[in-house]
Amino acid sequence: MNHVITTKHLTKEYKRFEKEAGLKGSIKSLFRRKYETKTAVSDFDLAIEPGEFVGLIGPNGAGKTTLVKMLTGIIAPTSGEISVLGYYPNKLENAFKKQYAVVMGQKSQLIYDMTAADTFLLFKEMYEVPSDIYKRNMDLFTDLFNSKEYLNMQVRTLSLGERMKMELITSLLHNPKVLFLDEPTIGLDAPAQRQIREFLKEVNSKYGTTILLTSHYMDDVRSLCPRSVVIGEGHKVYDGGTEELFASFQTHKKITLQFAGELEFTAPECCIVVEANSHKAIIMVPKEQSGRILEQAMRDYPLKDISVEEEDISIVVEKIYRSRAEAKA
Amino acid sequence: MRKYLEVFRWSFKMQIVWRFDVAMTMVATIGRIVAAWILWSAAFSGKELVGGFTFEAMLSYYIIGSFLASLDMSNQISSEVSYLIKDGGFSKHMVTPMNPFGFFGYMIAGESAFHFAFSLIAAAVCAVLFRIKIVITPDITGLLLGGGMAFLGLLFMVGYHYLIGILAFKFLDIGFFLHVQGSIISFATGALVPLSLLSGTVVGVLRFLPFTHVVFTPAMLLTGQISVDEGLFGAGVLLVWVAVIVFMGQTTYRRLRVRYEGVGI
Repeated sequence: MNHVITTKHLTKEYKRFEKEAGLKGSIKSLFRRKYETKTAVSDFDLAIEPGEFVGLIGPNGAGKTTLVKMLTGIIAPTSGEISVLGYYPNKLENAFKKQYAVVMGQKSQLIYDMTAADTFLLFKEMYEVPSDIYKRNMDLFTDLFNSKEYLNMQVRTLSLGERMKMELITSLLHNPKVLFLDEPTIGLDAPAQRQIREFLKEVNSKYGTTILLTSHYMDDVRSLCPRSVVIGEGHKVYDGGTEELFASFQTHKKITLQFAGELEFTAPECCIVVEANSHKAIIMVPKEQSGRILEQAMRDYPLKDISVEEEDISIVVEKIYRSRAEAKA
Repeated sequence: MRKYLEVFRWSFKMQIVWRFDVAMTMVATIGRIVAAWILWSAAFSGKELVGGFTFEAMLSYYIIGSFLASLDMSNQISSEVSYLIKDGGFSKHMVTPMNPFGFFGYMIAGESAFHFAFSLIAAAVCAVLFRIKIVITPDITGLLLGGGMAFLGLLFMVGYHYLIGILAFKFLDIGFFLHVQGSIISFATGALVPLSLLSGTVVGVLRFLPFTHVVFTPAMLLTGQISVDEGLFGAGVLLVWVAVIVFMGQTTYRRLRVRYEGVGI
């Protein structure tokens, strides 16, 4: 099988300078600068096949964005091998750039003072998209998002969700073979997140676009990516099925109980108490017992509010590390 | 080529998004011409010639010179490129199939075209209202050469500011370069010290620098104050400098961009 993306022993190191706080520190650093080398991605092997939808997950500072930056050619690796669609990304060849797209949730490619349709026109010419394909894609994607009405509005006046939809359409106008998505649902409300997930699912299944999705939202990865790659401190710590990952390592649910009055809370035996006071309790509950514990809490305490969340990705990564250490021992 | 023309169109469209800005651009041009008309009317009161210029020739030189100078919007390239490199925004220029120099060049061309069109309208209005006779050389070669030099001058300035901007790949903060380049231009164009006060050798050397040929020479050529031969020398100097600056920009970009870390995204 020909891989769309391959990396072998891929490593990226950054040099950054340290400075003590205060004026004295600033003067000292003027004459003698101390540098620290940080390894953002280390010895990273990855192989992705055409048409795969892969989730890249990890806590903040794990190296996810650095990896995406290397795969898109924005930055050059320090060492190792890297190939995307048969190209070395940092050579920045136009032929390569026309075959992928990248959407960074926090950096827009839309022109704020213009309408989304104006950005589309710019991208049409930039990627040399023939007029018939451009029209077909624009109609198709705006229909999928039901967003035709936003096309002729100034981008700066659109909501965050509407803007993200326009970002996604912009990135897909030239039929990219690979789509890199970095936190595409960040800051969006639940309906907008759901719409974007549906859209991405369709793009992946209908057009066979290979998608590498970086997200903090476990729901994004669970609902979209059959395969997940977990990165922690620059290392690949897991590469396999998403369901297996969550079944093996996301063993608890986080339940937050807000009490309707002041009371004393006693946690059930199987729970781990994260925080508890007379107004609120946060407990980690084994997944299989979460229903029973919720029922019990609703019966025993007057509740103002309840929320149930999945375990945070940083805890999942920690568990993977721990299980590896135990296996080694 | 079409993609760069779309950048040009996009940049032009950007200029006419805000109607107040468009109106103010025209008001500013009219204001500048009226101010010059009042100032030079006072300076010429009772005199036929000032510094070898007639009133009409002086006003024409001023209008054409300031018109050419206002077309040069390139100084924003250095600050914008360096800012984008520093905050990670330059990444979008690395992932799109377009040469960043071409992108910024056509972006500035779009802005300049807007100023050209609207300043021309404002200048025409002024010329009619105040009955200003703009003296333009009748020599078609001089006209074409002057226009060509104005274009080459803008191209040089775009390349020059782009080169300074991409130095941010290495130095991150290019405040020093921006400061120094401002002083060099002021000195070379005579804005700091009148060129006539400098020694012949220094003036001779400065003739081989591009800066005086960006605005001064084409304005003098278009108003018929210098000969086509003098203009040809300036055009030759500019042509060489354009080739040098574009080559330096492309080479520097290729060499320095690998240092980019995309911090901020």
